[in-house]
Amino acid sequence: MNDPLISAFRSERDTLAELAPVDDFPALWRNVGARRERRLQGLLVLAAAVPTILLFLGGVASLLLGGGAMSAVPLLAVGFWLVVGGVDLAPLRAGEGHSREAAR
Amino acid sequence: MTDAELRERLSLFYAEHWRKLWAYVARIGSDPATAEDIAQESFARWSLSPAPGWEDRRARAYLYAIAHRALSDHRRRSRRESVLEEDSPDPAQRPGDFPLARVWSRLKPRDRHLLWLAYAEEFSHEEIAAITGLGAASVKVVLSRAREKARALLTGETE
Repeated sequence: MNDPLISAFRSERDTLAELAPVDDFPALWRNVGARRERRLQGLLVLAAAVPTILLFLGGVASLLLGGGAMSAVPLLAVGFWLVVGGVDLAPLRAGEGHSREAAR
Repeated sequence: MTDAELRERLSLFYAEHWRKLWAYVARIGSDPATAEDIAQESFARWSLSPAPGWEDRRARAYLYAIAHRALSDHRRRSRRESVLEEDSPDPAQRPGDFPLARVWSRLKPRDRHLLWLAYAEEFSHEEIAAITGLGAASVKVVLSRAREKARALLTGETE
């Protein structure tokens, strides 16, 4: 089939494709790697935050509902410790790592 | 899939489709530099999508759907509306000579978009519907009318 309209579009596509800038796969791969890392860090923060929050809420609930004051104190303490520890899992910005390490 | 396998397959897919994707974005609605950014961004999003698959036709249609959305996002950020409803940039900004210029300038933006996907990229009606978000029945009707109009313009029947 030799449809002039289809031929014109395909010819245009091929002409234009020849003018495309040079591809840059290394840049794409770096971009993909950085995005995968950010996604993984986000998942880590979430994985740390969910049990911490649940534990903390459990401590508060047992304190408020009565009868659980003795267990609430250690639960809250563990929850607080995890919250503070969880902060370190947050993604670092450029240059932040050194200052955080130096502060310790 | 290991990192090395992913890299290998992505590099092949990228090499095969980079030029045509750039041509699509550049022709449909952006200057060459923006088209390069949008095409690169589309490949990055595609590679991170939950199940892009590697079967060529589906993978390619999905890549174009991502590029279509990225182009629409770009237009919205530029305080414009949908890529289907809005006119393309000034033809002077487009790269290269354009044999279809006379036809192109007299078609509606949506018609140009569908014609390009159907004839330059050879997507089916269903694939075009998935890429643009239009209904498959609408694609068929709009494309049929656009084809007749473009054909008439090309052969000089319409002035």
